[in-house]
Amino acid sequence: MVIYVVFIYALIAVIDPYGLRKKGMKRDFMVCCALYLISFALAFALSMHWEIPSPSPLFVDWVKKLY
Amino acid sequence: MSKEIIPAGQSISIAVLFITGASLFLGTSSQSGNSSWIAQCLAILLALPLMLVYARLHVLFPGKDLYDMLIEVFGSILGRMLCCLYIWYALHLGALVLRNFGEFSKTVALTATPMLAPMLMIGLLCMWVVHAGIEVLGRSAKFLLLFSLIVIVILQLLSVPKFEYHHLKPLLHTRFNLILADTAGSFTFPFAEIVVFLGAFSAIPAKGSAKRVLVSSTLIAGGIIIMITLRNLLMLGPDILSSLYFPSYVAVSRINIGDFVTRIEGSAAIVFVTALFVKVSLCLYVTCNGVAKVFKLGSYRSVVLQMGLIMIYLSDFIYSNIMEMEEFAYHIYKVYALPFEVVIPVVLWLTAELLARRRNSRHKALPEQQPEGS
Repeated sequence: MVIYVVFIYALIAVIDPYGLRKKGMKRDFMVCCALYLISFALAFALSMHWEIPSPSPLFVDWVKKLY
Repeated sequence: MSKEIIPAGQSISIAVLFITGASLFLGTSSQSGNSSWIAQCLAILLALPLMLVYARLHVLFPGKDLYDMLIEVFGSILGRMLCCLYIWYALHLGALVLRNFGEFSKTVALTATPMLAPMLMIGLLCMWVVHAGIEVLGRSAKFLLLFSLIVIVILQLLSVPKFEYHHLKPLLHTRFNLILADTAGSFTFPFAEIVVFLGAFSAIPAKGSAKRVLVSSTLIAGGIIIMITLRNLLMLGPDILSSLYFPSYVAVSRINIGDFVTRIEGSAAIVFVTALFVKVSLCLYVTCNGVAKVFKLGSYRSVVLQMGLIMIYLSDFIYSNIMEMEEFAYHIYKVYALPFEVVIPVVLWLTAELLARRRNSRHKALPEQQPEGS
């Protein structure tokens, strides 16, 4: 699964951020690259079955503190 | 790139499918038992003034969306911080709705398939439509609404022989505070969630009536939700209704016309998926539009793929199980969503009204001063 993820993301890198760079959209390229890294990190963690902390318990705690 | 415009009819279709979206799966908060439909009516009445506030924002800022309004009223720094909050809200809402679909397919339809697979399929479809533009979403929504309405009406008619009217009695038997809790729950989920649509207000024509779009879509979607709540209540009864995760699916599975028309819950699932598709697509569009506004990008299309993938992954790890999802949707969400749906838009509206009045009084004062100066 991890190998699939790496290959798919290599393909996405060519299509998405590199495509923007070729079009000369520098700012869009930078933001897209940052989001690409976040997205890849999440996909990699999910494929490795690592536990990613969910934001939901945080909201549940805040709401329960209010009440 | 030319500016995208969606006519009023298409905007109404998007808004109706957006509001009905996850409620078709999950039903609505039903602590009040057989009085839950009264809570729905009260929630619609509460939502209508809020829709007028949202529509007023469109009059005050014609051709601008929520992010433009926030930046214009609160300035570059505070405005952008509030924009980030709304980007999070739209992303989180899209992930929650995708997760609802994931849990639905895992529990009911595709029990052996990993939850991520159906969510990924729907998510990719949403990314495609958002990349194609909101006009494409508008045209799809117009067709899909018609299709959904036909299916809902047919299912409603087929359910009539199974109705047990004694489930409605005794009326208002439950404590009024439970009805109020349900009203608050239904108000925030799903009616006031339409605040997300403010992120696409720039696509409504500057002279288009946002009031007509928002009020009529709330009434149509409210009518559909009340119809479905009553159907579920009359077929299943309040006790069974409150114990189910997907009451509509179970109610529709009980339809049996002469041992010939049976097991038509698959048709109901199609309606769920169409509504969900529009809801997730709008959330994704608003998220990408927000990122584009905050970072001053050339086009929101530059981030559609990455934001869509992040939304899908978020939906995978946002809850650990279906009970956590139910707890969040019915008990936590009504408090969590309130600042996004009511507090910030009302503060924005009041501030914008003050600024508009000050600007008008300045405009009036200027022509009076000019003759004196000349």
